[in-house]
Amino acid sequence: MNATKNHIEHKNGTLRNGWSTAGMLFFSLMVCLALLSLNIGLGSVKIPPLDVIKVLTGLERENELWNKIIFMIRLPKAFSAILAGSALAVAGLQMQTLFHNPLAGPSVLGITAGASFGVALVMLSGGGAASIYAIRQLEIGGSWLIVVASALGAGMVMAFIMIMSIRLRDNISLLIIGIMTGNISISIVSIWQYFSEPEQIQDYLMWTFGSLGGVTSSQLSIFSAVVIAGLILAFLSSKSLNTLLLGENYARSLGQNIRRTRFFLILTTSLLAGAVTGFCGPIAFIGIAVPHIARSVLNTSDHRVLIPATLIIGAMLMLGCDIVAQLPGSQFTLPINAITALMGSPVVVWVILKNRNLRTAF
Amino acid sequence: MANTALNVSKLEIGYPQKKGPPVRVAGPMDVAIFPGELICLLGPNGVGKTTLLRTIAGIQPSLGGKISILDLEMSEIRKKKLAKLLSVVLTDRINHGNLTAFDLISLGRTPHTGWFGNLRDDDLNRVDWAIENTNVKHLAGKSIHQLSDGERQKVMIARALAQDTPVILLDEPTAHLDLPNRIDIIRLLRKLVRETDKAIIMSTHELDLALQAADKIWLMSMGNKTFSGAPEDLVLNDIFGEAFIREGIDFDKRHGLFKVVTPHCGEIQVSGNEVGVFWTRRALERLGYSVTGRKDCARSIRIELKNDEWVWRYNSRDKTEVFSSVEALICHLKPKGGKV
Repeated sequence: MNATKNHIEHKNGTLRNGWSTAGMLFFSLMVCLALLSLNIGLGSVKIPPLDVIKVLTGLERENELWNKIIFMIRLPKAFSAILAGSALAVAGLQMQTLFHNPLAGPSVLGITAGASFGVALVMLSGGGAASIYAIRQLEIGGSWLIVVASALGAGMVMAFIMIMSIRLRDNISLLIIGIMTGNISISIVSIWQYFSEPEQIQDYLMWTFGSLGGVTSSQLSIFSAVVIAGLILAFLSSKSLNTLLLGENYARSLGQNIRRTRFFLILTTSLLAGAVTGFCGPIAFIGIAVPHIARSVLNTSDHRVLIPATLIIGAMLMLGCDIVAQLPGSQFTLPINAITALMGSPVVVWVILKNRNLRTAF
Repeated sequence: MANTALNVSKLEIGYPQKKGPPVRVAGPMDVAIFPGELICLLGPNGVGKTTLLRTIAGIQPSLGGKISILDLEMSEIRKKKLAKLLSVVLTDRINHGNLTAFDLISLGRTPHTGWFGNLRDDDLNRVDWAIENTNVKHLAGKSIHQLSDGERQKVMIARALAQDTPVILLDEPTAHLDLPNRIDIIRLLRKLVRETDKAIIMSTHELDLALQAADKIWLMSMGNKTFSGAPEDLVLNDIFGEAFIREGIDFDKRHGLFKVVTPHCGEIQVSGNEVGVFWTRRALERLGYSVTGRKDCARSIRIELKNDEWVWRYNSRDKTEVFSSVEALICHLKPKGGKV
């Protein structure tokens, strides 16, 4: 491939493997839509596919149960999956580029751990009154309590890391401080658990399994507003992220204000990861795996392409994981956290094997 | 006289400390570069070459003095503006495998593109121009990790060229390269100053290449002095030799070479075929002989090239021995047990 051909290709907006960007986008949106309808169509209560469409389009109003299941449970859950998947994936991509580390993800900055700390504070402190069953009885107010606690926990760690990012010039030091902060909050939670009542621990453990179903339709609007704002901010930082591929010194020589860029990236990641952890619990793995899948599939490092791609792949993967977690046809729902790791880990191994090593693929 | 591309006056460089006064590495120095000049920045390790380049590039603050680019005061230039005046080629290694050479070179356009970084037609033309001028057209589609060290360095130079700045700084662009690649890079830089009127400053340890290629040399010596001048002037005034002088190293002004001095073994007169004399002299000097043209010398070697066969006739104390290779000759002349 020579320069002139490449030149023309860039003009036509064509990716290197021959797919046009528009075609790729259309295809992945179609897959996303298919997964979305599968996700809504399947569940512990059997609703025939045709009837699902009827309910969605408003043709079927008589069956109140079906209407309730689809509009109150399945749709919010599917949208939560899309929001959580895309938010975590984009946050992971930003962290990997910022820290030049293929193993970075939203969890490494300690943001997830901070959110867990906030939730533990609510669930483990006080007596039985604060147990999740008591909270559930408060209905919406109770789940808000957890969301707020989690957001505060994430925000606390985030503020600490941001203050550090102003003082420290070196990203690797920042990464290590993030990991250590996460470790401290996790160990405080462990000590706390040790002295807590078994029922309280069980509540907390249930939360750590992660759940997409916990987001109510009223919370969904806040959740989506925060995630969409974060995703827009991420997309706006594409150019800065691209210059960071060259390393900080080159980025600086290209006129980038590194401290501001870093502050901005950490803010965006905290927003995205903090919101997801607050509403759905600490969902592991998506943040690390999806950026690698996107890079491998598209064979590019250009964030103007990678951010939309990770967004869509993250949503697809999360929808897929949720379908598996429901164990279609059964009464059980598995913890989403277990499924994301179970489905995603082989994908990452496959990506590494395909590219021989992560350093050159990254 | 034309305006300077970059002017440095009374500049002091160094690092600020948390406690106490800042550590001064070098300065005050006064140097300047004009458009269309290639400057080689020389000096022993640790003298502050990289610090000087980093200070000029605005990566670290100076301790005093002034830097101006195109008559603009450095302290008054905003970062975004500076990126349009000065580009750099650093020793940092870039490891992103998914980045092609073309992508990397076009990232040089960053200061000129909009908020999203999209390349307009004139950006693409500039990138193509940079690619043509550095002869890396065949590498454009390759990903970075497929490139050899020499190719990678050329791509980095193309990136700096795409940034389209009047001043380009290069920090040891020839390090880790083999001789043909080193010459290739220097020739490329010479071509660029000649054809594009850029002002290029490179730090290097290749003294011989610097003497050949630089329009001017900035020489930083351990005595905290910085000299600037044509390479030839620096040699003739003994500044060049003194800057690098150390025990066991000698600068041969006649040949512009640094020599490894070994214990003296006596004199030998060498004559005959010119090329043969040149290479035989090197072998003899390596052994510790000094080569002379004096006819009355006790030992002499006459070199002849007959029918494509080299012959060395070694005469000592009226005895003549004939050798057919330098190896055989030095085997015979090698000091044995410390005595000749």
